[in-house]
Amino acid sequence: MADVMGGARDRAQLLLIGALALAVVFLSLSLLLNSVIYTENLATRQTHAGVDKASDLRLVVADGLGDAVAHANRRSGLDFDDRRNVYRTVTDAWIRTLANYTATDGMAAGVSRAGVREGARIVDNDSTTGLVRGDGAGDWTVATDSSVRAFALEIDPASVDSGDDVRITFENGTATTVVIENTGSGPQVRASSSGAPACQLTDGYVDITAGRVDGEYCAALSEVAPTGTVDVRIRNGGQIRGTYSLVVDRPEAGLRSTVDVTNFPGQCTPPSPRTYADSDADDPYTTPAIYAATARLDIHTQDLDHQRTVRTAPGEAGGPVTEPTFMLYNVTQSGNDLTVDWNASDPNGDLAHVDVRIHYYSNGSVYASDLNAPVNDTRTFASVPSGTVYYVNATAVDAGSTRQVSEIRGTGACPP
Amino acid sequence: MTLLADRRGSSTALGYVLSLGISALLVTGLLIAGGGLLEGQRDRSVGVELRVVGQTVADDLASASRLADCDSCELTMRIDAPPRIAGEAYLISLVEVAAPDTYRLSLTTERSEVTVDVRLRTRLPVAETTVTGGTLVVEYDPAAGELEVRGG
Repeated sequence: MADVMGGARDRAQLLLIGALALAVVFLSLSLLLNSVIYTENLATRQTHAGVDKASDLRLVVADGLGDAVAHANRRSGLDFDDRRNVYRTVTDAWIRTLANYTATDGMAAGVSRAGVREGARIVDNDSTTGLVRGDGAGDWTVATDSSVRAFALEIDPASVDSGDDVRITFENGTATTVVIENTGSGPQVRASSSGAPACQLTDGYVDITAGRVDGEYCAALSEVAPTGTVDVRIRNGGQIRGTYSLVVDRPEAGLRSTVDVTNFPGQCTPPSPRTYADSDADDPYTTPAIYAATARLDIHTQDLDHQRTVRTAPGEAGGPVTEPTFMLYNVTQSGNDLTVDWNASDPNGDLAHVDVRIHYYSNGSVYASDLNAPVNDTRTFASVPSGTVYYVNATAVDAGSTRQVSEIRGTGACPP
Repeated sequence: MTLLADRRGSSTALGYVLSLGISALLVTGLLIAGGGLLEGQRDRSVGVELRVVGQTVADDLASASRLADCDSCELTMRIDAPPRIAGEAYLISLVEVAAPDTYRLSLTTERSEVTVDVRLRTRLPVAETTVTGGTLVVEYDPAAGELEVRGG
């Protein structure tokens, strides 16, 4: 080596350089493997924890708002403003708690209320009567053209005998029917249009919109839970005893008179007795209620900024309501003058106009109309002919749907 | 004794040449083998790492699309991907391969040109784009109704 490299002290340089080069190679290899290990470790970590937290929080907020709505609707004898105030008080406290809770979880979350939608709760708390209207008739219409949520019944199972089936029908072009019957093997609940087996009714709890019987999932019911706007009708309601409650998305204003027109076609508004009592002193009755609530949710984490609207309507089977509705509908009669006062609103804000029509009761033809009217207005139809009965109808029209309210008025010949 | 029969002095020179040659061969062989091993391992580990990063980014994108899928939603989300893979910068490109909303996420390193494809399905359209690997920002554009990915 001395000859190649020169000098006796410089021996074995080839080996030395070779060894060094190899050491560098192995060092690089170890660094490479280290980075692979790091990445593999990365792969086992939870991906984006912020997304999970945000999704969880949305559910928590929807749940919390739903509970607040249910709480605000609970007592009777309150008007809508009272219920809204209850809702505000409850949510004020809850929003603060939620903010503290989320802060400990590394998330800045804000919830701001974005309004409630007025509806009506229809209740029958008298367990000694059946599913009957004010005058005791068992074949009747509960609600017309309404979205229905939280429809629950508590039936006395002993009252379900082998007589006529009780039928609760939801109709929107096609009808789906919940049948409560006893065919000899005990009380049961089934759906007329479903092939799913009937569910035995032991304790008497039927939650139609949640699809549960006695607290357990019932496949037959879940298939007929009302979605969208429906007419709700009951047949043979007097066959059983029980109580029920449901919330519809129409305020009392338009709902009560329109249901009366359907149930008592031969009588002027208001008929006596009406379909629903004015207060909880008599059953069934209606009370103003919050149908749905919305809130704006604002989430910030280290890696995520997210805002969204959360809507909640506890026990709603279908999607959000988009149909317009009347917040106010009032027909006042002074001699031969009919004054119509209305105010319509629309949850998705595309309300176009209101059409007001006065039809002859006798043949349905239009006597007078005010078409394409503003959504909030008053109109007087003066000097309508005497001795005649009229339907006074108003229809709110939005981009994709309509909704009608109706009353029957007569000038001198009422009932017709 | 003739010169031809005289072997004295030759063993030292031969020994030198032999040991030098064999050592050189050995060292060269080891270096070539080591280099090859390094090269192969690097490509493999780059592939593995790109796949992991690609799947993480794809999962986060899908999560973002689920979170932003509502009329009133606003979303800005940061995805932390490593800026270099095995010491190399890389590019992430997103291309729609099938309607609706099925995408191919291609990650390519710049020097070794290793490419890994990851397919993903989202709930919302995502604007096709190519960004440099590293921290990414996903933003929901409510006007266009689509997610946009850009470098953070």
